[in-house]
Amino acid sequence: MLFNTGLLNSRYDHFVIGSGPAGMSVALELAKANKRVLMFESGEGTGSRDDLPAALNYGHYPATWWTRLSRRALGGSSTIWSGWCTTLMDRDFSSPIAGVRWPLTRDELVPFYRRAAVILDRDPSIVDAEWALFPGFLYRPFSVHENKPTRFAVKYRSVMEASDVLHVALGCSVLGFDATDSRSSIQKITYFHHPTGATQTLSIKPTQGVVVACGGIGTPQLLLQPRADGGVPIGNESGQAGRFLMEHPHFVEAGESVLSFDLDGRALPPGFDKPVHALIPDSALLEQYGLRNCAVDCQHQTTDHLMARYLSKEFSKPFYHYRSTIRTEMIPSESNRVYLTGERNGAGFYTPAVRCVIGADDYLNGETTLRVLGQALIDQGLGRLRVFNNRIYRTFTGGGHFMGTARMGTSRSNSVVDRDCRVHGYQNFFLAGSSVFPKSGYANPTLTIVALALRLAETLVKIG
Amino acid sequence: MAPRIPRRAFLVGLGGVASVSLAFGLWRYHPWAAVREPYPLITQNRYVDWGEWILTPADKARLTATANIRLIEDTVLAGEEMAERPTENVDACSSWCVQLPDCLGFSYAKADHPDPSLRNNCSLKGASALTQSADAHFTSGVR
Repeated sequence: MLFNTGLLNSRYDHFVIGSGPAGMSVALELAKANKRVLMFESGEGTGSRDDLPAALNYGHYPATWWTRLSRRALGGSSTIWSGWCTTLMDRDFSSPIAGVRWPLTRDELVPFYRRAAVILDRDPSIVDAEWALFPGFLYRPFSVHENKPTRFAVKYRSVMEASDVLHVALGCSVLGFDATDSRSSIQKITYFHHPTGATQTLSIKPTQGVVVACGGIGTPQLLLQPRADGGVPIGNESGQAGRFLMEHPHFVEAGESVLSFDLDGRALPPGFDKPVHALIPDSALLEQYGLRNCAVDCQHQTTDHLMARYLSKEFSKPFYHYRSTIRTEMIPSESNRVYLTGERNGAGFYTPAVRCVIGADDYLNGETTLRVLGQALIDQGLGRLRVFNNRIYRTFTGGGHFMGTARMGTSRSNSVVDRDCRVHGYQNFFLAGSSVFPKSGYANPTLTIVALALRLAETLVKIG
Repeated sequence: MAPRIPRRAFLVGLGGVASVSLAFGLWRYHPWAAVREPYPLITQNRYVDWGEWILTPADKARLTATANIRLIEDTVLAGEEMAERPTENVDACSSWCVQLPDCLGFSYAKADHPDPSLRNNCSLKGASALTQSADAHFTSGVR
């Protein structure tokens, strides 16, 4: 049921804040298990809530980046995402960066990845899409689903409208929480109803789960909101909320590759439709050069290119020209953060500021990956590569992937949530979404977001 | 009065300390290990650059040979202009084109072109399909 009266009660098993891919996946999965769920969404049934102050911006990304790529709308960022899907790799989980690693293994997530693929209208076989292409590099295509991204609000609207157990409170922004003195469980949610301007509270029992799924900017914004009594904000006892923001720097068409591989002609499992090809350094190469994860995509295949024709003549076999965009993993840096400004919206909610600076090591990781590929192609007689310096260092963009700002880890000293997405120290307080990622890999996060949400839903079913 | 240490014991002790220190230093700093250069350019020493392509020297020599250019007399090419400047002759124009990976052809205005400002002008083309038109005042080349 969708409603926007703002008249809510506590007679639910669980509460989910935010209706994006993470929140909606948790809520729908709980509803399937016949749990009563109240999902808060600050947007209305259609359109997005654009009347809140935009996040201030510092660093490399454009002024409106953080606001226009986060959506306060039913379906959240699924209303605007591009639909690209790929999983994180084994080594994203097993290899640390700056002393940080996932407290999970990929194997634990694989069953949830397969279910997430179906939710995102893909064949589960995309989860296994990784093949050795030539020594040094793997072929790991992106599933793009013919550029028809799953819009959660469209796909699941009728399910939500018909559900007796899943209720969606539209036009309601959660402002904060109260917890027990021992900070072991959430005992109150305070929310603001935009249409009426009323602020209300709901009492919560320890057996009722509370899940914050407000996105990589919205989640820390909520956890950072100051308390009237000046105490540590609920959920930020670690002091880590908002820190270690990561994006995926994209160096658009920073490479031209000519390969002896006809990637368009490559047979793939049925779920791929028309993939976007990507080459990834293998673990041995990463280790050899001290690199982090990075993808070199290969698009716009043609044989009608000077270099392809030259190599075809030299090697007496066809060569194919591609334009290559680089997507690199960012090193988690404490300086890249979500802060709060002193500006409050009409509900009294403080507006965020965001700083995200791409470091030299992030740029160099992308550039070196390309150069290593160029060397490998020559050494193995497989092609040639061009590296456009300016397109790495002078122009770049991002994926709209906001990660790491409430990261997962083994203790409160370096993370906000544990391996089950539970806020450290709490019995009934959880976070969902890309804010919990401790490392970004190169992979688009949505498939991982939904997989983690499904895993969280299983945890919640067990507690109540 | 300090106890007298026998010379042998002293030398053995000193040797022991020296050995332990050496072993520790080798373990800690392993000076024999090659220092890995962070983010190597890769292209140094073995490869050459051609307009940011990473190539072998042989690649570059073949790709920049003027023999790759087919001259077409009395023809002008209409196509995407890349760059232009006066050159001494059509060979110089051809040499300029082959040095640039994105140059797919050129049109060279002859010295007798009726427009003095165009005489000896070398215009490089970057389009993949170049339309040819008859014009006695030009010599063109396609790669």
